[in-house]
Amino acid sequence: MAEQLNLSSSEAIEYFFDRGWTDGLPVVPPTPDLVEEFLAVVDLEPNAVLGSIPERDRHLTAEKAAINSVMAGCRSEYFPVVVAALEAILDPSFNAHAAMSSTGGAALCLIVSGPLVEELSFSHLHNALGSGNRANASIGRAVRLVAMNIFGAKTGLLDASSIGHPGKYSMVVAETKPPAEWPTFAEELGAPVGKTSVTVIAAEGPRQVANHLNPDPKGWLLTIASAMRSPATFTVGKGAQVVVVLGYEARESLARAGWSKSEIRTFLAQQSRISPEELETAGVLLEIGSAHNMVPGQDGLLPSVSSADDILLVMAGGPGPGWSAYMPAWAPILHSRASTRLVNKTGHSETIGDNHV
Amino acid sequence: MSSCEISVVLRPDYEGDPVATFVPAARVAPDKPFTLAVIDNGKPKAKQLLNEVAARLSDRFPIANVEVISKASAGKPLEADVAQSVAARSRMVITGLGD
Repeated sequence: MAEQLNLSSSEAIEYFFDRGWTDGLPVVPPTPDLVEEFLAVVDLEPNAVLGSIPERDRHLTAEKAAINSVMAGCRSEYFPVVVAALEAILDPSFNAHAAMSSTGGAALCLIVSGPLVEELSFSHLHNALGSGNRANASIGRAVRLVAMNIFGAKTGLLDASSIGHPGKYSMVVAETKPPAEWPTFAEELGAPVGKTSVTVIAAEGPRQVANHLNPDPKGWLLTIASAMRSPATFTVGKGAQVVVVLGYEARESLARAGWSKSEIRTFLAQQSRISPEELETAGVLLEIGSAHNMVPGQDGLLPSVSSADDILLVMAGGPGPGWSAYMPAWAPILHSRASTRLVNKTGHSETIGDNHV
Repeated sequence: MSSCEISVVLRPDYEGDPVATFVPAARVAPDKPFTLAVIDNGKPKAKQLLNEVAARLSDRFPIANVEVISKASAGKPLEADVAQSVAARSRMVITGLGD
């Protein structure tokens, strides 16, 4: 059981700052009654283990997850989503040790898809990737506080981010309903009807992609592909998983024009390939003889995504002139893969397929 | 509850057992030819750097041969069985390379 500290609420806030237990913002003091309420929602014992990072010789209990979720400002009904996210992060394929420590400075990006998006009032239309919504902000924050407080992902300890990005406070993409012709992200992963999936990917910050004038939806995809093949992105030319968030106009016009999600992924994977010359013109030297051997394919080009299936195609954002977004994983898939869990309202989360996307 | 009221809050960080301290093995200067293993973490130029270090060590120690082991990912540890095998056939191992 967690140590009890005798502090008033205001003392607790300052004490937590002093001990380095916050992300730089004040936290909600985690009183025993609040923590108990969170644990009661998922019906897990305080010492139930949600996972571990063997390289750090540390494991996470439900009680510590609940404490950090209270601190983050979560409502207790959010806690099953936090549990699913943390269990996905602690799947060995995600390689949390590297994702939390790399100089690349990745955030723990969550993609939530399914009925809980509406039930928990996530923001999924206007400002879907922005601030101002409790579920989006506090669930992502809870995950980051666990990374910091349980697994030592802090500056000066085991987080070596050279630059980092603001998504390290919280980075949650809640999927809105797709056009009628398309399955949801959760359905594509194989989630049963009525279940919500939580996918985690260690991601760089979002790039906003604009296309305001082109009446041809193919033009929108070409613009997104051009963002995906920016030589400034570490994984371009090597191949990684990426998240593509299709904004309102893009998804509606593409669906109306008869594009399937599979066709979009294939098109983006192909159009985001890049020539060695383009990389070299941008000052990027090719890695040869390293773990990321950048040898062009038969087309003379190098990949920006590892395969079409490694494009995580998600719907979010409200109506307005043509905005979408794109977030690359911080590293090629040989280091880390996105990992998915299905949310259970009580108990542990569920695995799905091979857990990967 | 007023902000001055004494309350109880729960500690949010890891409270498991601290990592046990250990005593490193005594340093013994090698007196006969031995194998030096270097573990290349897969980052660019890691192999070149490690080979240079190995060459310099060869000036100081009776190194019979240098074995380079390349990891598939800098973000993952060497597999346990590979690490044991390397330890069994090497007198000296260089590891722990960062960026």
